[in-house]
Amino acid sequence: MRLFTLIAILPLIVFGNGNAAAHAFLERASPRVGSTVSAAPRELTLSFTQKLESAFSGVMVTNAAGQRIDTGGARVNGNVMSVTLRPGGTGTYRVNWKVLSVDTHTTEGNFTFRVGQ
Amino acid sequence: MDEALIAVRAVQLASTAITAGVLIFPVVVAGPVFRAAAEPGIADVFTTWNGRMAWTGLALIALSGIAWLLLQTSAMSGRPLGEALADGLLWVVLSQTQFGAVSIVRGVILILLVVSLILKWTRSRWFGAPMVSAILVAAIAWTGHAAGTVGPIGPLHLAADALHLLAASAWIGGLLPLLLLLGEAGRRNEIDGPSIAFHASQRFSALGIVSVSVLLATGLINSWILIGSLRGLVATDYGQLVLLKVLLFAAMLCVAAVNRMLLTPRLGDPRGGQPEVKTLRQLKRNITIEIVIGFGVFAIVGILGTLHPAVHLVPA
Repeated sequence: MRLFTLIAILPLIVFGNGNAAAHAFLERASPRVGSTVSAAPRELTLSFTQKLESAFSGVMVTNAAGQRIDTGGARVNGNVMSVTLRPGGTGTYRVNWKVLSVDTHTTEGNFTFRVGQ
Repeated sequence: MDEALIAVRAVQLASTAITAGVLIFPVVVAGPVFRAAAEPGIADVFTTWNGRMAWTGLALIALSGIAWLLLQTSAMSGRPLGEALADGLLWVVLSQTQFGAVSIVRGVILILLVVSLILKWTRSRWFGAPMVSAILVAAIAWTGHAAGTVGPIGPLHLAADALHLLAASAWIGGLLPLLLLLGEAGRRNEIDGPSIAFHASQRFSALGIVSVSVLLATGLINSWILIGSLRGLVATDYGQLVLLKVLLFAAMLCVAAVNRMLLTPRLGDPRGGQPEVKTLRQLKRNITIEIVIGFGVFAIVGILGTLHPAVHLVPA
């Protein structure tokens, strides 16, 4: 019985913290992470490593003034999520995303990009 | 919450796999052996106890399945379970996520399985409880990482994962009825006793070989897709867990090899007029060890299901 308990519990003790790098999930973004674009983008597109569930997946984009400029309804198509943006002026934009993948993992992350100089 | 989810996934997998293995065993191993031996007594006792194992498995599948759905609703929404349920998020999960859809489908299949068992569609009939339980096992693939794999490789991954699950169920799940059968055979002093043990072990070995081959092939495919590199294998939690799983698999193989090449032939030794009591006891002990290791494998898979696959963590 002890041997059974050891074999069954050992993996849980060693690996059960479920620790995984959250940032690795986002594959590609447009505008690109950390990039500078000349004009305010009308759409943000995020590409992930796994297929997504539209329920429980979302993104929030704020401009330099802290105003929310995404129109709220993120569209999900396979592993790609996109959202339409209102014009937001120049400065540093911040993107906060949180997605649920089809294999039931939730991941979140954020990045910034610049509009203008 | 993570630990609860891991435990519930492991129990769901183990109970589904074992129930399928318990139902497949009579079709592939026990049925043919009993027919050849024409020994009604042992067949009846075996069938009764095997049936009880199946029903116990079904109860565990139902309980762990419901718990999994509830815990997953909380995890997916990021809210405590009470809040999530009060806000109707369970219905959102069921109607708007693939996991929810698969849960409904598996729930229906489970009910079908219960019906087929009540109507006694078991024994040697493939197209009954054994087939339904196999589908219940295969459907688990749609709740795991294979379901999220992007691109044309997605269906390949799903197919490989489903086959992997089936092979594991037939082998690990089949170990319990095998143990049951050998125990019954050992209790009988009739001439047919040891020969039943011998033939059952032989047939199960054949099943084991097919199962192991499928596990190897599909395991390689899955690993290539989910880990993808040696670095992913050794440098991530995910990869290291898979290595541990392979280690346990190898351990099971060694024990199975001893059973097949050393102990089973002794059972069939024509010189022994008496039942080979010692050999049978060793065989049963080894099978018990295999079962314990098999449970370890299920526990690891429960953890793996909650981790990000290594291929997503290691920069290309």
